[in-house]
Amino acid sequence: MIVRLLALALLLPVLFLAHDRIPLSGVPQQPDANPPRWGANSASWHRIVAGPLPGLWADQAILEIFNIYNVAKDKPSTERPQWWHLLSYQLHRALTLDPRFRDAYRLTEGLLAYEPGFSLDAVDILEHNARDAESGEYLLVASFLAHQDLHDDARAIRLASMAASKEDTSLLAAGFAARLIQRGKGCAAAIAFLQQRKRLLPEKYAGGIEKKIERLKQDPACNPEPAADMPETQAMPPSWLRGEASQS
Amino acid sequence: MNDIAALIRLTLRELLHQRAYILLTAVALLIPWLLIIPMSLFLIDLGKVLSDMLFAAEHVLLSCFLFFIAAPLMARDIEQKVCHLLLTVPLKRSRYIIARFGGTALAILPMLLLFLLSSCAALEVVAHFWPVYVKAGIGLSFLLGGGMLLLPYLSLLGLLYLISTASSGGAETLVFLLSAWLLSWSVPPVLAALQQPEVNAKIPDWISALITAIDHILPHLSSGRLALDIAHQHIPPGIQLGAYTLEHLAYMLITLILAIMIFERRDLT
Repeated sequence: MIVRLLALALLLPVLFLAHDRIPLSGVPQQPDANPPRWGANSASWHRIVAGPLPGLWADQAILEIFNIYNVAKDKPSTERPQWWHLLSYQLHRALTLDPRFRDAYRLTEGLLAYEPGFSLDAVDILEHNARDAESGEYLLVASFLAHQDLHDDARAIRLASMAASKEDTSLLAAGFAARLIQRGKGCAAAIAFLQQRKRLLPEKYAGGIEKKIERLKQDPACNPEPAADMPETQAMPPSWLRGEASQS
Repeated sequence: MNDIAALIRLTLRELLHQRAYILLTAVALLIPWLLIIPMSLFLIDLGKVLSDMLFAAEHVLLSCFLFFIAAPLMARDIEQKVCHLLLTVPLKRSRYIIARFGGTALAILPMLLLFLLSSCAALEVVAHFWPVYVKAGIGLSFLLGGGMLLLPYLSLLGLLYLISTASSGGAETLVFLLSAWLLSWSVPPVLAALQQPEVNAKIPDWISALITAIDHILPHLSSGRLALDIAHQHIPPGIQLGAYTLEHLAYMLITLILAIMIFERRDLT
């Protein structure tokens, strides 16, 4: 009996040691030099692997994003793109498996979109899933990004008109597009819009938007006057469609 | 008819008193409440996430029932010659299979009903405390989806009877049942992927025709699609739900008839 108890007492530290050494989270400490890119066959492959539980695998992709972001947020700028490619891959995966998943849309517009160099990817994801998104607010953000970051006004108008076709943003999208694309008023409107979006994310995930606001405020071309240009955005009615994130 | 009813009652008593069944039922009651913990990690779609996890839990529970409770029952009947005792009553072999199948199928119901009611209560509690993130009425949608998810498992149960009547024992039954279970998981999404226009354009015509033919013998509404729609509280059209029900019931009956045909000719000595 004593020998068995001793053996158990000796084995317990081994378990703790192993727990420390084995990466249980599934997130690599360093991403591959060539992180996976979302390709033509990726969607089919992931749909097959998900079997009869596509929703659950989409949820798992979101948890994976939280893990990646927690590791990646403090990395130096030279290492960040590799991590953000991983994050983008998981967002593609989540929306492929569940095209109506609002958490994935919120993270696409809230995390991916404000990382330098990834705005185009975020707009592509949002536009690709435009038909399935139940709310127009994400298309509105895509329209904003197309105008503000990509300087592609044609695409911004197209996205705003897609948002206008959704019931919850029809009036807002029309006014938003008109104001946003109006030259000379874009900057204050952009800051007001970003501040409104920032409130919808948990504080720990809002770093990207905050940096973007700071960049805009420091831009000499930008007029940092109070954002009276965006009454429609400020007046967005609180509803479950655009409620603050549950973690905030 | 009395002999069938008596054997159904015996089967129910055998299954419901197993420790494994009682454990599964306890897990079915508890798991919906425990899943609220991982649900709280998400941002907005809390009701949808909880529904996803509940559907996954239901798959696990029903699969466990099939592999650890239903499969050993038939294997034991044949390997340990329990069926001889029952068939000497006298009881026709066809009636024996029907009664055993009926008893096994009915044994799923108490466990499933408790799971669905516990899940419905958990979803309604979540909807009550977090009304911004969970739409009202989600519990009732889940009851419908969870009930529909039983149908593929009734087909698999029919297939289990077909396999066990033709196989030599428990190990063989489990191997073939596992293969059938894996196929039932993988074939619908593989077919859906192969029918995507970009994939379809790359494959030869005859393979494409073969895929279309296979697709016609499967329900248009897959279990995955059903679970996803219900999780978002989009109830699929009635005609699709009807076709899904009919097709699975037809599979169940076909496999059961084949099982009876094989068992009637089987040498049990």
